[in-house]
Amino acid sequence: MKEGQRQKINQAEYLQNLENITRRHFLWESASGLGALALGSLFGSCSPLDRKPDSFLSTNPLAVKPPHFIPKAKSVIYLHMAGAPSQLEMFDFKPDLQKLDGQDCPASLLDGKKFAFIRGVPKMLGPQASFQQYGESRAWVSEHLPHFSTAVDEVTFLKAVQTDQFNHGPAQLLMHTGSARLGRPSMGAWVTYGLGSENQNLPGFVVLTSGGKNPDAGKSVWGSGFLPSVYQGVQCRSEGDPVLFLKDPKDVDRNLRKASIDAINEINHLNYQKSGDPEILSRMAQYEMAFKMQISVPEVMDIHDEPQYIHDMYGTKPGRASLANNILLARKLVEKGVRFVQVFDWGWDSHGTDSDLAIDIGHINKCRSVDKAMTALIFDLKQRGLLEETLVVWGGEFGRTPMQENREGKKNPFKGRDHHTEAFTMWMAGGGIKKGFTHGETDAIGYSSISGKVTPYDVQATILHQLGFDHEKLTYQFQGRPFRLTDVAGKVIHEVIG
Amino acid sequence: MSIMEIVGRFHPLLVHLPIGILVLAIAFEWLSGYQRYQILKPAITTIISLGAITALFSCITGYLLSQNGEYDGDTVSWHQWLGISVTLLSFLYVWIRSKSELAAKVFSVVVLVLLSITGHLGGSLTHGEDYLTEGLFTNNESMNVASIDDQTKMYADLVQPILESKCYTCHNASKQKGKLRLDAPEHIQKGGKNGTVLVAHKVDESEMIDRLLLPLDQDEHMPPKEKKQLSSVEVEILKRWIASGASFDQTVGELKLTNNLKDILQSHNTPNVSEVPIDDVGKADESIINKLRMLEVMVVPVSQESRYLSVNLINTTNIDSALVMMQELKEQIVWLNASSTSISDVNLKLVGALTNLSRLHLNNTKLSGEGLVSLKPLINLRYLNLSNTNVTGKALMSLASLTSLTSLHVYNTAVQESEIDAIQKAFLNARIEWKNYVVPMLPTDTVRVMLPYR
Repeated sequence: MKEGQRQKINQAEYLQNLENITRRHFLWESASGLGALALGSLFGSCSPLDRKPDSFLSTNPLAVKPPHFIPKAKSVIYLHMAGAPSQLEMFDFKPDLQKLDGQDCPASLLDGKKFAFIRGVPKMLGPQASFQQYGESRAWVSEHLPHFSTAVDEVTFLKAVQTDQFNHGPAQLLMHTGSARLGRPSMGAWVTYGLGSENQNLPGFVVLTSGGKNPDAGKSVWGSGFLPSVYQGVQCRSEGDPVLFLKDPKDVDRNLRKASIDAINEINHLNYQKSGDPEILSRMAQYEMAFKMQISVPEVMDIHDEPQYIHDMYGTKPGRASLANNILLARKLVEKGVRFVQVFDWGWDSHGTDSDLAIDIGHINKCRSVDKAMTALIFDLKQRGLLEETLVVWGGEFGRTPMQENREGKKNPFKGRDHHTEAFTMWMAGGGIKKGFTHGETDAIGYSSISGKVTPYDVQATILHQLGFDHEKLTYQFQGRPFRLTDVAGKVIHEVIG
Repeated sequence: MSIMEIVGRFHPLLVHLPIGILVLAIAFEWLSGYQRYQILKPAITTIISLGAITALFSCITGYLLSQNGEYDGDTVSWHQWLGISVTLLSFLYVWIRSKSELAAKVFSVVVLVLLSITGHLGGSLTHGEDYLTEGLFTNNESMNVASIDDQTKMYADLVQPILESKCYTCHNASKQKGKLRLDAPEHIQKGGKNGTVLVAHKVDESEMIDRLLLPLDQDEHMPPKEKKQLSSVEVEILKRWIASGASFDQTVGELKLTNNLKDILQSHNTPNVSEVPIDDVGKADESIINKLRMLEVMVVPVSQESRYLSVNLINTTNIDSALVMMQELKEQIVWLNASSTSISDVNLKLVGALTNLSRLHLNNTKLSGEGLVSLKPLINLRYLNLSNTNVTGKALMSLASLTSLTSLHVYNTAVQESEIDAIQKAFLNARIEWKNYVVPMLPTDTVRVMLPYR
């Protein structure tokens, strides 16, 4: 009886408790539950994914590192035509511009716009080349690129790239460092920082220049900015010693050299243990690498060993400094595990101020100097099975105007075009990029883009994406905040990814 | 657009009211038979009346919508007359209720059945005939590009399935948005109210392609942005079909498209490099990795999210020991790069034991191919690079059982051109790269344009 009574009381208490759980209670509980869920996912996105391979952290700044996700491309060859080639004489066919040839440029195209040299009202300048469609993809290519017209089915064209810098230096900086101002690391430096180097005997980031001058922006376009200096591009020359100051001094043999580097590095290591300054590690790695490079670089930079049919393919002549030689070298370097090769060729700035810079003279010669070699590069990588894992990018820092340049309001002695920021053409091939594809379109005279507009940031984001990086997460802590290549912009151009 | 058309466009919104309200009424009708739900009874007549009135408005708007000419055929007329019957029956239902409750109960079932059929037909008009069941029977999501050969019919096998899955819903016999039908060749050629949709051989002038390529947020973009979009491969197929003349009966072979088409389409949808198994794998033994490091072997996970490993032997001087140690990591190693090394045919035995390998670089080595047969166990291999070696065609044929291979590189080897056909037959799924590409010398290559003499 007593037992039964207790049960009854317990039951009553239980019911009482249930009654205390009100509708408000329910809502409160559900809301805080949801909040916790949301918070969890927020935190999740902040912390890096639980880094499984912690054994892969190394004190060697060039040790190979995994990317964020599985990459399509392992290396990049970036061909930069410094000075900015004319898209209107190479890829962007505008028959309507011919009809306007010689007429005054309409005010609507000039109002509120600023040009580097054009003043007043310039005349329109029709395409100085005839065009045809080629390949299965029916891509338009001008007569000045007879070789490249055979390769269009391997390539994706970006027809509507837009930049906001109309001077060479800032525009080149923007293209390669993600900022028009000095001081940012270049794309190759970011990639080497993120991935390290596959071949410890060669630099991860090599720069080759031709055309008689370095690009206007100077060496900052392959600099390491605030990243440790070990990630900056190593400029190699295709004539004479490939890397300057690499040879041993007279009467110092290799063993002595090795012993001295070992001794210096030992002291450096003690110093590092005391101060923890990463630049000391950089210095040590650079000594080590310089020592290895004494053997490996001259070897890889020598194109004499290449068979004659390869020279015929690229149009190369060993022992001369030329764009073609550099493009062949780029292939050799990538084959040996170099991550990022930047090829700069100077002399594309076709203003029409002299015959070398005339659209209908010098510019044609520049086209001829790159046409055979860049076509050969695509096919050579393809036959070697390297095109699918090597991303080839071609472009300038901006495009050229549909108007004829009139420097200071006067007619230039030759046909030329001014710097043009609103729309120009780049192309990409290999490395998981679509074949035979065109993204973006310009208006009837090639003045501005009407669809598929992309920016240098988008191109950078896409290159990083193909290498396995989320461009928003490849960051470096500097001056109290994380920096990244694409700054606060950049969208991966998913349309061009296969 | 006239005011009537705008009113008509309220139909898809309004129809949901009678459906909901009448179903509620019928549910109340049956529930109220039970003691504890008797309380619902007085509301039923009011609810049915509301349902009937909203049904009337649905009929009016529906009639106006059907007048724009985009809908046609049997489905519309059935939907129309059933809708009208449901409306009339709902009013009748109110009257019957005032007479007999039992009769009302029976009658409610008739209304429910007719209502369901009408609603289904309406859905078919908006979303397409087989919207409800398409997931059950067909799976035309992934187009099998690899199966394209000379006999593939360009229209029937490639183009039509795309139109069927992405365009038919709005451009068919029963619904003709923009007065356009795409469900048969003659209709495709005829075009819609804006004229023809395609111009044979001229992709640029074909409105169909124009519309597909417009930005998604533009009204003229097709399919409308809320509908399922075409994949880039599908757009590419339509483009190539039009470029080749938009023929309705020719095969891919007759149009001379096979190789390049396959190649290009493959680059649009296959993850052509970097295959890694889907299943997770145990953590690699760190002591082995460190030992390999001492030999200057590069070992790294394929990505930060993966435990699978990529290995490069280019810097090591002791390939034999490295390969022996790597056996302990055979679960994890999926990519191996031994290009430009001194790897020999004997070493291949240990390479063949790394059975999870999907990418293997053996290019630029002295391999003769004798040891190639040891790679037979690599059933997951997708990419094999043997270029710049002395491998023979005969040695290669010993790997014929590796059907997973999609990319095989034998450029500059002892493989003869005459053997390529047989090799292609042995590796059916593989793209074989073997020839020397030639970039011929043209007169313009060496001539410079000079300043004209004045």
